[in-house]
Amino acid sequence: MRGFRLLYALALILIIADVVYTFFAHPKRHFYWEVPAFSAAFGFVMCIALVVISKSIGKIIMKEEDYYEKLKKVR
Amino acid sequence: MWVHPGIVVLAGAIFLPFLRPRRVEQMIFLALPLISLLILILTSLGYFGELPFELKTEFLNYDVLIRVDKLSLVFAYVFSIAAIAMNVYALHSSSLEHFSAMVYVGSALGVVFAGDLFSFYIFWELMAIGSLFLIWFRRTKKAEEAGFRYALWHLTGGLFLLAGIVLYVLQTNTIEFKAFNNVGLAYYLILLGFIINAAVPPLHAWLPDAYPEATVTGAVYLTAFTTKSAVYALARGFAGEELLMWLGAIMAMYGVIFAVLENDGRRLLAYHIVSQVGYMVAGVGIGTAMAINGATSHAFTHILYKALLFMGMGAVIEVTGRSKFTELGGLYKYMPVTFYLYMIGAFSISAFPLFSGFVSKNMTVYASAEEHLVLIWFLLEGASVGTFLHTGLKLPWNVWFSREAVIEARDPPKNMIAGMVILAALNIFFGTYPGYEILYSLLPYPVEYNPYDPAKVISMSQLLLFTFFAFWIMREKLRGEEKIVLDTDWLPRIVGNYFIYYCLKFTEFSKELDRKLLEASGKLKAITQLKLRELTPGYGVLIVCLVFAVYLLLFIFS
Repeated sequence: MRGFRLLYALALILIIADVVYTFFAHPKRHFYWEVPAFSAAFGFVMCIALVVISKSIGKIIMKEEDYYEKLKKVR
Repeated sequence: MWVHPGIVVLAGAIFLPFLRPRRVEQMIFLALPLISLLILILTSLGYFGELPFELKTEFLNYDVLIRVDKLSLVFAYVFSIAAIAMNVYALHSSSLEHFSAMVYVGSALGVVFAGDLFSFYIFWELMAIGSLFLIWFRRTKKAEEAGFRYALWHLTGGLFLLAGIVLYVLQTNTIEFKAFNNVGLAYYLILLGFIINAAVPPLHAWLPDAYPEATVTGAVYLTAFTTKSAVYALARGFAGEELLMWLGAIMAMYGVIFAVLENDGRRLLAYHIVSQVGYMVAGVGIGTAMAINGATSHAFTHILYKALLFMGMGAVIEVTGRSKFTELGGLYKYMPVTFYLYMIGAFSISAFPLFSGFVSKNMTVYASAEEHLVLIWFLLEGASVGTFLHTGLKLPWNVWFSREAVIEARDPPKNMIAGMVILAALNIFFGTYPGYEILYSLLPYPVEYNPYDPAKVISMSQLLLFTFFAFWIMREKLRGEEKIVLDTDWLPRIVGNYFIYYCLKFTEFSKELDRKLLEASGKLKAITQLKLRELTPGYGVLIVCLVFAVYLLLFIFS
């Protein structure tokens, strides 16, 4: 898709900008793992992890919509 | 003489249900938050004397303190600004709903200006009552039940708070509302009262339970005032309390994890209130000047974009009558304007550069990094991935795209669009220059933070873009499922259920007992041939009441 080609280009530009900026401007880093493109990896991995973790929790806590109605002893 | 904006709004609210014709009522309704905003601007400009100042008035033989300083002003500002846009959005709803909304707004303003604990408490409870009716006005069975549960949570929280305040005042001999000293039980009771209103897990379940059941227009008010005035109270009373830092970070993640599973649009957004308030609670807990600034500014922008998100989803509900993802989809063809306005809110909450969330949320996250709180930073940063994933991608994809339109729709009435436009404009304004400078100048501490540092812009853009890539891979997994998600209110609901069941059993038993007794007494009567009046339960109750009344009179006049 054409839209996606734009997004890939944007991703590439952002990562290159990150590398260049880190080497030339030495921005303040708080943690040693904040290397260039760390945020990109973090976003990607975290997003997948969130969905996987939530869905596995969901297996236990997701119930039918009338769950509470069925439990009701008093109507 | 300073005029209390909360009192102005409350006093104006009283007339709303009686005003005729309708047009006049609507004008007053729109004017109330504008007057409040005007007073605040004059206050900031120094018309009422140097800031900060305190006022003392007497009410029923009791000194009421009113405090106006930067922390209370910034909250009052956003309450008034948001209320203006919300009133435009809610212009078409009934005048009773207008009334309870204004009671809610006015008492929230009262909370932020309260200088003593008792008037604080009174406004705090008034807020719960005003908001309760915004839920009940939906007039569905579900809303009624959710409203009762909401009331129970808040009354319980209020009682903890009251107990804490009474103990605290007895122990410290001061009724002034300022940073609390840790005096043991009283301190924790007040904290408990506050965190119930701030919706900190596991005491948050009232929020995703009740907010989605409120009226379309009422829910917009609900998003702003209860949790944010609780954030104000925490920032005032418990800044730097380490417990809050942990609770806040967990909270931010908790809301995000539950939002993945949600099928109801407004419930998904409600879980994101929990998540976003987590940032503020964590900021308050970290307690450095930057963190408090971050929490305050985040509360400011959060009110603006969350109201916009609820307005967008509310417009869909208003037009289609549906709120579940499984029943929606493909609405872009019919509601493009709503979609674009919603997306401005979504970009703001996801902290896109040039949108309001970017200048506030990242400040809180940055403050945690400055203090080298690794785990806190990790949870907050992770939650911002989830924020974009749900409000920015999952919800719009499920509602406006994802399949062919399943229902016909159109864009909502003009006043609803207008309310959304106001908030969308404000979100862009506060995200760009000079808006964020204005916002920063309102914060309680001087700000040493440049949001548009290139490193921050680059890293945030990367995070969001790659979140989008991951979402696109997994989008089919994120379709709604026709299920509900159990939360921590499972326990009180089950226990409550059994409680009511056994109460009814008990009444049945006592009825039976009563009947048997009457039968026995009837037989006794027959035996003794007494010509006493038939002893019916009605007379019995009457006699008991009379006896009590006599006791009461004796007690009062003795």
